Amino acid sequence: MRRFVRRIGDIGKVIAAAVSTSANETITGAWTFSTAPSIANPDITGTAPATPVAGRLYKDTLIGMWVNFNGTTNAISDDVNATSITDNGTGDYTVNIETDFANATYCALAIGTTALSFRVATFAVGSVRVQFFNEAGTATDSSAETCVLAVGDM
Amino acid sequence: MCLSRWGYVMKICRVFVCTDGSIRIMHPNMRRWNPWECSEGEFCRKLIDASMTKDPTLAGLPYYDVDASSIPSDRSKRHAWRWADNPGVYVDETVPDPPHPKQDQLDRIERAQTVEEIKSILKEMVK
Repeated sequence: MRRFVRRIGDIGKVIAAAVSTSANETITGAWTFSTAPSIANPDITGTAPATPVAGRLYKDTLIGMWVNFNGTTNAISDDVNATSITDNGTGDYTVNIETDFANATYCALAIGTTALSFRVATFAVGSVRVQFFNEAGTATDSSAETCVLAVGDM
Repeated sequence: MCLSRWGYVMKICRVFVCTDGSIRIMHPNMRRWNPWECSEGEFCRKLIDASMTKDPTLAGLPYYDVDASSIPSDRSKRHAWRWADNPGVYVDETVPDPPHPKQDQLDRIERAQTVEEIKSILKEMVK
């Protein structure tokens, strides 16, 4: 059951109603809710057009994976959609992804709590490889809290 | 052993041996382990089996499963980690350290004999 207030319609008055839905419903027009609606797991299906509308959700603008892990022990502290970390060498990590991206042209970023530069070495639909360097350009292990996130169409 | 929401548990890692002898080590996400469903080892192997299909660069590499506690904690010689059936992951002291990315400039500084030469090198470095 959800309570909401329907926007002033053609009849020119506000209608308060308790709605129970048991089937898919198509709602058209603009609606104003008396309190912010709570949506557990909305299925965002539309991709961003060439000129996105401000404030609108698009499925290819959502964060598909993020992970916070220890750059020394490679233990994952927290994550969404990351199954494992591969330690490829000094400062060189692959994050393996549970639900694949739709393509390998998504965007990925990495950062640690120490001042290092990084690069994304490899994009694959199910994994992303990142490498960290110090100021001299030498490969260096990242910090105890290393974060990688990826945004794109899944 | 590693720390998870269930306390200290045994973690299995998979060591992949590359063609140049270097190794890559896959660490499973222990946050996903549910002790009511399976043992740590069974969980780790299942997750790693699924994970390794996600990284095409691992295809065809020989691999070995090890207890995470057997992996060296000192990573200062990570570039020299190698695999042998016994003792497993070890530090091969014969592997040379990787060259410094600015080794050429460091060598020139070392050879410089005057302040002017050093100034010249430093000017090039900060360009």
